[in-house]
Amino acid sequence: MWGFLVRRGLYNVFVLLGVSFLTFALVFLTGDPAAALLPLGTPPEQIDSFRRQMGFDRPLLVQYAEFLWKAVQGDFGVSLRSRDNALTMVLERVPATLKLAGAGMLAAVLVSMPLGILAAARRGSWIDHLARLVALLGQTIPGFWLAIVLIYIFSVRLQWFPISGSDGWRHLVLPAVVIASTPAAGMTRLLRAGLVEVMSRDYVRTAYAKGLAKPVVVARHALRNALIPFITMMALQVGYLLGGAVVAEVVFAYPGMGRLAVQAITNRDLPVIQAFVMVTAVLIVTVNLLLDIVYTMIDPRIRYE
Amino acid sequence: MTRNVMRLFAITTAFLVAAALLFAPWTGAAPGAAGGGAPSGTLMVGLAADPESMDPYFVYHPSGFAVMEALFDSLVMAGWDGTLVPHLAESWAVLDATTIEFKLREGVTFHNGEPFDAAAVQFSIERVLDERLQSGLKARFESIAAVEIVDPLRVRIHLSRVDASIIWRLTELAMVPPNYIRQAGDAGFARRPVGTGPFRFVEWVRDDYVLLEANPDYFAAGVKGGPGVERVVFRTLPEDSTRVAELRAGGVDLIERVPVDAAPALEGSGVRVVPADSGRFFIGWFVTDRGGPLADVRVRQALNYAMDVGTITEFLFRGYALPIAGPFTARTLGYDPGVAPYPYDPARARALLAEAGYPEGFELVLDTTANRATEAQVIAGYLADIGVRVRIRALESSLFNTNWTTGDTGDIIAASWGAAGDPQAYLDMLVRSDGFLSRYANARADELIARSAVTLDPDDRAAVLQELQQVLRDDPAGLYLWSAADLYGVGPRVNNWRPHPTERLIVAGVFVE
Repeated sequence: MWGFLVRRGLYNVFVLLGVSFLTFALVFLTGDPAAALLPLGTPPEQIDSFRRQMGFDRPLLVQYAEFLWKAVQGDFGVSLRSRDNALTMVLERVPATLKLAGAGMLAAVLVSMPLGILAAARRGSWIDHLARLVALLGQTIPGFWLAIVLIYIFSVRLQWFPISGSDGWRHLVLPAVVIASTPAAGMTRLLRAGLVEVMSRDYVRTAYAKGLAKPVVVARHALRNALIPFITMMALQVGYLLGGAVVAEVVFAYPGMGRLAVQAITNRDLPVIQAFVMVTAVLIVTVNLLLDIVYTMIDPRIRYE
Repeated sequence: MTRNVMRLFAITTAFLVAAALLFAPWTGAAPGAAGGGAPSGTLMVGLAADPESMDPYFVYHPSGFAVMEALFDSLVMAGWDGTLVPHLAESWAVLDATTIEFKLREGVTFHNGEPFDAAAVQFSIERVLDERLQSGLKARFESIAAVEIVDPLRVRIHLSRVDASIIWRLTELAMVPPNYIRQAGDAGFARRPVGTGPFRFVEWVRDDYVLLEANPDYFAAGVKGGPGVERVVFRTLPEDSTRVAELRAGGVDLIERVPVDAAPALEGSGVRVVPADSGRFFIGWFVTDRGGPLADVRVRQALNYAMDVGTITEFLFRGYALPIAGPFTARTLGYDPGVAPYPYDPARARALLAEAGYPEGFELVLDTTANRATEAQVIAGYLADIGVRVRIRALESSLFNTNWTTGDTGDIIAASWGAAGDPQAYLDMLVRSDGFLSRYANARADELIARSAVTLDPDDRAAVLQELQQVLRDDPAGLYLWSAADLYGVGPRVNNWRPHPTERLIVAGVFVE
């Protein structure tokens, strides 16, 4: 187990290195950060002087090496725009985004678990069709569109939920629904498919033969076995939830790290973009590592050597 | 014991407030201006972007200007009619071609109690010019050679060259407190800004809101009235539909940048949609220095005849835009309404193209920013009618800016530009043949722009600029499209607010019901 964790840890370091280099290169490929940081109409001489002062005139690899050396020490530099510590700026936003992603995950589970189980237990019934419809809509409706429609119905018309901001749980409901819609769809489909397959297994027939009622069979025998791919799916959705949070945070003016990232990208605020990408990568890598541990808890057959 | 003291304090305060309300002269006009009613209530403003900084020398965009105008003041301002008016300076005098003397308003203090005086003016100008600060505003003040303190309320600005528009540019320079910044440092100042403005800084939660409170000691004169509300909250609502929805639902009282498409629905819901009384023009600048069709004045005229700008402004902008005859708007200094925009005349356009040797038309590349893609397509559609095939490159704005600065552009560079007030800065940059964003040359235009820079008499200068407008119309520097008004949404609680001729949203003097 420990050997496995160390191996995975090392592997993850390489993942993070790759991520850092790619984002670094991409930001430079799409424009000159010095020109982007000064207003249009700044004379070229002043842009040059700014570029030299910020060190943008040095070779990319030198800049990257310096970035990496400092990043390892937790120093991503200061925001080119606000001159605050970039890592601090991102870390300050992490709780808000995690709260949103957590609420999104909760919403996704609350929808997909009952819907998936009922759809599998009553194949071909109206609830199965409903599950299919929900899955279809969830995967096809774009998040930003859904967000605007939800705002119109629930905030402007019915006034049940606030439109924007981050003050209390009521602010979380609509954005959570938006970011949950796609994961919930996939999770419902997966859980239904898994259960349907398990329900035809011998041990399920045996459980019925013992005289157990259907709900008990589903809950105790079928569900536990169908849950492994479901949990894998949940973990894979963490990346999606964090990505979806970017859209939701912008539309609902929710001050999480997704919005910070969007603004930093628009401003070519390299240190903040770097800090954001690295923090997000660390979050996702950590979740995946936790998932591997969770596997061993729910399925005793899984052991890491 | 403590509780009793608190209660006594509360009762006394309530009594005093009630008395103050009872005896306060109620004018019904701008409160606070000339010591009217006490500021009360909270004004919620929805901005389209988070301010870049709380240091005014690092704020370059209109959303941030709204906050800066609440916190800070400048020596002079653009008045409600677009003319130059005194502000922190009571008056000014041009002593000779390169010396301007300002007489400062007496008794003005910064929010921390520090007096505003000649030393503060000197410090502010030297700070923005400081190489190490790297303010993006620096270039606008580089004609200032020295700032001389005559006495605490009189200051002289010495210029290194004749610069007729420096006084206009001083409307963009916030006065900052020297002692405070020396103590707190630039970073500390950006965290807790201190100005002389009608509101004091309380809190900034990045990407969320800026909270300000009324400055009871505000001098309230000129353009900015006193604070009419106790608190102003500037909320950052970047998504257009969210900002509009918040206004409709009453979550905010006043928003900037209402999308034209949202205007009819907003007007139906009891919200006023107010077009900014400002000039921002949208022009597709011609790259004429590469040879090719655009080097020929007949081709440049033909393209202008090919555009039905009147129809575009009516349908794409629902009338909130006007055709233009050149890089001037009704709010630009020296604007001449007698210079008429090109009429829509596709037959004449085709004839001119044929005359220039392009009867079959030609191809060109039009660069614009990604948010202007719709406009670019409309332009391409009209030009296609006369045989000019346009390939659109809708670029991300920082790349667009970089390309423009380095000269790596298509054949037409379509961009909007604020043109309220003094046009000198953008004429130097965009039109004069040696301007670093200019890809156009006309000897007469160069001469007139140069003369405008050194003509100190306002009437003489207006005459120079009017001639320039005619020259630029006949020999087009660009595809002259429209000047579009920024739209504001004003909720039912808001009283006494109006758009300022510059793009600066001013919350002083506004009160809420």
